[in-house]
Amino acid sequence: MVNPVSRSLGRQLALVVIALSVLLLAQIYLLVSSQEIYEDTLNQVENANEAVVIATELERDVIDMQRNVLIVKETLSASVSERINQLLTSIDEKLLFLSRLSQESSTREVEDYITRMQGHLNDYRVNLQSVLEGKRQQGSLLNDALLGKFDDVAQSTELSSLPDTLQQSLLMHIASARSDAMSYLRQPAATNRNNFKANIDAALALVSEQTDTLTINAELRELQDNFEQLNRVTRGFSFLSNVVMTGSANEILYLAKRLKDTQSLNLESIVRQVSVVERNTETRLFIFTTMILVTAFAAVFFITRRAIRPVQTITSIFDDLAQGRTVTAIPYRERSDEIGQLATAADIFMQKNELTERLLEDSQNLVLEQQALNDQLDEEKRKAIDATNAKSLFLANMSHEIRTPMNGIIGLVQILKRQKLSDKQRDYVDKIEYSGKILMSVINDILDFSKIEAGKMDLEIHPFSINTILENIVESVASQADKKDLYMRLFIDPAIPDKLLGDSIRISQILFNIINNAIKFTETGGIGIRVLIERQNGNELHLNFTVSDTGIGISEAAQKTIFSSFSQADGNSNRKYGGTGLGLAIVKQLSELMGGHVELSSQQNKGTTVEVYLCLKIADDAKRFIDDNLPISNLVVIGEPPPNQVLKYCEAMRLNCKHSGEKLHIPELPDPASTLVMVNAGALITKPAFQNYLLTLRGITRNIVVITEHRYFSQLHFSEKEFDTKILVRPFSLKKLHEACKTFSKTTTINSDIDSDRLPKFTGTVLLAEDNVINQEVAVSLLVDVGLTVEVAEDGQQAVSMINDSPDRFNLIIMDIQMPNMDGLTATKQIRDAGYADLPICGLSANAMQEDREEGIEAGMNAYLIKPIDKRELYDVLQTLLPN
Amino acid sequence: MNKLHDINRSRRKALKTISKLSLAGVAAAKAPYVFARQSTVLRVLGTHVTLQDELREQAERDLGFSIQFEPRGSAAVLQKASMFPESFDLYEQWSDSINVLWQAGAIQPIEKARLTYWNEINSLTKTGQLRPDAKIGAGDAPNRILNIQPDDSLGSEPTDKISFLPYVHNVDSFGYDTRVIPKGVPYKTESWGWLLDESNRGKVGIVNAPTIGIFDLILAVQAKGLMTFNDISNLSIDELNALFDIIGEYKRAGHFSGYWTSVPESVDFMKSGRTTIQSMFSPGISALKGNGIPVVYAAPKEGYRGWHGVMCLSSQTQGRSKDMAYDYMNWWLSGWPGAFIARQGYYISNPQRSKPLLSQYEWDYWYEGKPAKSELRGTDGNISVGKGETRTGGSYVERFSNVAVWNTVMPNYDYSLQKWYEFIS
Repeated sequence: MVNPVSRSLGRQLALVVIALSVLLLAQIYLLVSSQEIYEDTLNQVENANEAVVIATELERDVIDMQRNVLIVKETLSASVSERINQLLTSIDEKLLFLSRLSQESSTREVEDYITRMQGHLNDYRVNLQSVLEGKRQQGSLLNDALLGKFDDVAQSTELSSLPDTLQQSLLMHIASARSDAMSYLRQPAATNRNNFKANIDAALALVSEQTDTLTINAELRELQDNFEQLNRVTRGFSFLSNVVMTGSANEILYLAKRLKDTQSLNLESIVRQVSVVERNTETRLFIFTTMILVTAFAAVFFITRRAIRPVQTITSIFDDLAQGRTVTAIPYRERSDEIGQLATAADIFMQKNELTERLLEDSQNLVLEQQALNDQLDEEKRKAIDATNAKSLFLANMSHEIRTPMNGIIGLVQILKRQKLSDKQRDYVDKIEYSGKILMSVINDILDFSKIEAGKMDLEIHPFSINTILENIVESVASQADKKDLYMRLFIDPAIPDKLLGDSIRISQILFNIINNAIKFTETGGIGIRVLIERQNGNELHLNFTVSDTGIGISEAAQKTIFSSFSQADGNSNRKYGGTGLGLAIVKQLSELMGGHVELSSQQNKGTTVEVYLCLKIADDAKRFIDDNLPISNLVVIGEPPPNQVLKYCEAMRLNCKHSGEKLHIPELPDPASTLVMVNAGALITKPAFQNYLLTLRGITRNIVVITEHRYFSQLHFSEKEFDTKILVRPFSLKKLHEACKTFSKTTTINSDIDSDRLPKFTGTVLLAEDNVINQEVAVSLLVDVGLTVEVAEDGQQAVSMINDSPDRFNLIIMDIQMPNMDGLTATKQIRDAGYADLPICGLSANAMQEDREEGIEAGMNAYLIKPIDKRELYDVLQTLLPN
Repeated sequence: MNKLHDINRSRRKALKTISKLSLAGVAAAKAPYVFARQSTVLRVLGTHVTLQDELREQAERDLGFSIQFEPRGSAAVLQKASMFPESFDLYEQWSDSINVLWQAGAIQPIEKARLTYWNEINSLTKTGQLRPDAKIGAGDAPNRILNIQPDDSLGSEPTDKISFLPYVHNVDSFGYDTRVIPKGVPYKTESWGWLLDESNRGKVGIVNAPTIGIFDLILAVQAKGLMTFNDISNLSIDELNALFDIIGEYKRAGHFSGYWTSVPESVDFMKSGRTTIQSMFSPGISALKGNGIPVVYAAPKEGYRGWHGVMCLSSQTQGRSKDMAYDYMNWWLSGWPGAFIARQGYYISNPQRSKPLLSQYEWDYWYEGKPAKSELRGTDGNISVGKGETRTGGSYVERFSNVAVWNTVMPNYDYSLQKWYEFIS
């Protein structure tokens, strides 16, 4: 049975405490109330006592009063009368006082007594007055009415006129009567009264026989009347004082006594009550105290048994558990109060303990396992790192190992091409060159891919021009497009600044791959290249490069895997179209490396569109290349109507564009000086016809630009030389058009863009440090071609010696990095340490890593070339480093 | 405003007249003696014995005029009456007052001729005996003081003028609480001597009236054989001295616990236990019995102390008041008052007129001395007679044939006053 009380020790304790408190409070209440009773009793006792005292004094006063009345009845003394009044007042006051007392203690009996006493006292007072009045009357009656009358009669003239014997008898009777009266007054015996009457009667009898005794007669009768009246008066006040007043006084005394008795009884009963109360209180106190003690002991016992003992037990259990000693069973769990909870907790604790031990064991085991695994992991990691390092090293080596012979092959092939060859030989050399190029591109792809996969590809951010990149790419694929009779369109958004920051080589690579693919997989139609601005955030430009073709397209299934490495759209395409299948994978890798992404959409047999999204920063010093002060403000187009790109370019350059006509004709030019005539020489026309036309056209304007396809370029090339026109090959960029417009203000000297066939001229002596024979030949050939004298060192050591021997001899050192004995970096350092700070040194390496370049510069090199050597780059370096 | 006041006044006057007339009409229908309402008030001075409110109310109803009662203790009443006769019209007390009052000139003769029921009045007052062998008793027997003699004294010779109207009378003795004092046998064991019994010491009460209480004491002393008297209604000085010496001794021994002055006081004495045996008047006995106290009115073998109520006419009352007084006197003998007081144990001078107004049981108990056939109630509504009780002393005639002494003012009364004072103080 679980009830809310047994559920909690606290509540049980609280109950006990409440019980104790209640008992204590009851005790206190008892004490207080008994205190009150005592006080009240004391009051009552005081009252009763006082009443008794007063009543006693009252009795005394009444007795005194009676005594005084007795005196005053005889003497009529004023002082005694005064005393009586005093006593009356005193008694009255006492009665009032008693009345008030009785009101406090509210005993009706006592009140009744007092009321009756007051009544009696009032009667007494009234009667006293009557008595005194009566006494006074008696006094005056006696003296005047009686004694005086006696004298009157005795001395009356009538009497004296009577015969002597009669007189004697009369006088004797009168004297006797007088004496009787006095006797009666002294003692009111009936005999005296009778004697008086007898004497008076006798006197009257004597007188009645005579005449002339009227007066005496009357007076005798008067005497009799007066005597009677005196008697009456005396009787009256005597009765009052003796009977009535005494009766009242008696009653007052009696009632006073009764009052005293009542008060005494009251006192007794109060005392008895008090003692009863006292006993009761004692008993109750005793009971309560006992109860309190019992409860207290019970509480202690209860707490000990129910709380302290269990707590101790459980504490020792906890102790055991903490020390790790085994505990068999935990008691008190079945209880539903705090102890029960504690026991349950202990149980749980014990279980958790066991669990913890097990876990500890397990975890220790795990740790050991983990350590073993960790060791394994370290091992694997080391292996992996080693592998990676090996891979990187392999890459680096491979890169070098592969490129170096390739370099050699291509270089030699180039040299070979410049030799006199038979047609067949030339054909074979072309094919070798072509194969070599293909191989180089494949190797480059593989190496690039590996590099990127190994995470070793670093982007080198430099300012570059989109226009330049695309122009170059277009030029490089132009012949291929020509061969397949495909058109190429190019549109670069004029709002794109010309100088952007990025890795131009990799961007070129991306674009080249895509464009190349497009051309590769298109049989008819052509490709379109667009560069647009997605959005601009400050100086960040989000560009969209779109290349769409009308080629064979890619199936849905193939689209899924096209960007994966080593996959081609069609297993057969490799055979047909060649390629490693890495192209798009590299595009994806590179674009993602640059923080962009690539998208592909295609429809089989319809075409493919590849879009690359890149985010490039605008270079700080990028400015619009469009000159606002162009001399040309009009464009007149003859031939095919201008395509959209051209119109857009005109818009960008703020040129008025007008299509004059499709057939070759001479337009009307309102303002020849500021008008550029664009001749779209699309179809093949004969040279003479075109010459004639141009000649005529030349007559009206000097500003002529001829637009043609790539395949027709060589045929129309003459127009440049002969007619001082510009030739732009489709597709041309805005930049190219812009340049064309710009040149027409200057003197029309033939622009000397470096033509691929024109070689620069240099003078000087170059020290070539290169260990590879073939590479030596290649490099020397290149240098000699531009008019330089070359000496060769086999390794770094030799180079250093040669410099030390004759430092002034050389104008430039071209130092290969990877050489036996002493590598290029060490040699450079030594040369610089030797004090040849001004001697230009150009590094040469198969390593294209930025670190290597930096290493070179750190070592003291002024420039750095990558193998295979690019002619133009070489010429740039020569231009820069050589004195002239 | 005045008009309104006048209207109110006239209306009030009218109402008054109407009420008067209606009352008069009612009165006319009722009692035989009806007179127009007078503004004069009949003043009656007396004791509680006869001046009871019920009597007054009935009298006012029957007579149609206002009556004012002034009851006092017998001593006080006598005092007032003798000294101030102008303060009352009628005086009611008992025969012991007559001499005092007559001698004091406080009362005037009553004409027999004006008393309607003179002839119905029985022989007790006229001859002193209800039956030939009756003891006449010492002292002022009614017949001895009734008639006004030619020499202005009061005597037994019948004349036209009487000193008082004979009406209420009774014989008194002492009452005792039968819870304390065992009931005695009337005329046999009950004795005046019990008042002086040792066993009753400290519980004896005497009426504080020298002309009444003295006789209780005289009879007690005589019954105890402590003294003999020549004439118990006329003690000499020496006899008085001797008597009061004896009584004085008892008093000093604390024998007497109280001297009551009025009937209510006497009831209170015994009710509160102050006395267990005391002088008693009949209404006091009735009241005590009505309060459940088993008191017995003794029939002492020495004989009763008789008294005759007297209704006297003030010497100062004349004219209209005198007429009213005669009306009142006649009313007392007209029947109802007699029946009323019979239930208190009193007798009326013409009982036959009251007999029809009492039940047979009442008549039998009160007048015939027969056992009460049922409980009888007093005039206060309480049961004053239990079933089967007999009136102590027997019948009216029997009781009045056993009078030892009449309340009297003895010749040495004035001397006795002195002794009385010594007795009670």
